[in-house]
Amino acid sequence: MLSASVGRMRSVVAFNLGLVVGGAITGSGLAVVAAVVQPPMTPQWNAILIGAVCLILFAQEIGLIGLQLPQRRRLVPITVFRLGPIFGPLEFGIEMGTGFRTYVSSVAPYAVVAAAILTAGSLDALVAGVGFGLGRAAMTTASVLSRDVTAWDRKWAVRGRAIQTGIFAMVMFTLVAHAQGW
Amino acid sequence: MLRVTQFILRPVPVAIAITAVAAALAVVVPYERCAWLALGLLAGYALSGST
Repeated sequence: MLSASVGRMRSVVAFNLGLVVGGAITGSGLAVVAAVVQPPMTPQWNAILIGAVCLILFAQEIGLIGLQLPQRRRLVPITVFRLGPIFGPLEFGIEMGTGFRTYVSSVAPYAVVAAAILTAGSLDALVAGVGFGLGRAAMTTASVLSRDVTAWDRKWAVRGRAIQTGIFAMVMFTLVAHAQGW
Repeated sequence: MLRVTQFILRPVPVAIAITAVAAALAVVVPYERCAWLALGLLAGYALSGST
């Protein structure tokens, strides 16, 4: 029983590590894209543009508009665990951490990506990517430590939409508060 | 103890904790890069239902 629990925690740690690595990979990629396409704008224009993006995404979040935002519309297959209890979750974590593995159910990542492309320096985008991995890891860690993953998922199904809207409000607040300084 | 842990680790309390940490990073810490960490953290947790 104890060894099974330890084994499970190792898998979770490997998965979480993968999430952070995957986030860092996406952050690095964003930094490269930002370096190439980032328009030379004044802080005021940065704030206006980011504000406009946030408004559009907020309209999407509350269902006013129905944009088809880019995402991979596939569930993750069970075959991701073919590499065993450590490297399987690690690989799966890296794939999930990149944000390109499955559905993107919130507009918050799009706002962060847009802001990163418009304003971020190379290290900023990397830091945001690592934060993304840590945010995803928080969910895994909380659900596993709660000892009832199914109940956790059920509660997310009930409250997830409200949580996502609240989190997006915080993302907008952070972006608007900082956009003029970037 | 187990019940307290299970209560704290539900999606809403974790979201509140994540938001509080993000607010501290983005508003309180006087270092711009921490705001990017906060943004990433929030965006990552917002995708908790996507697996």
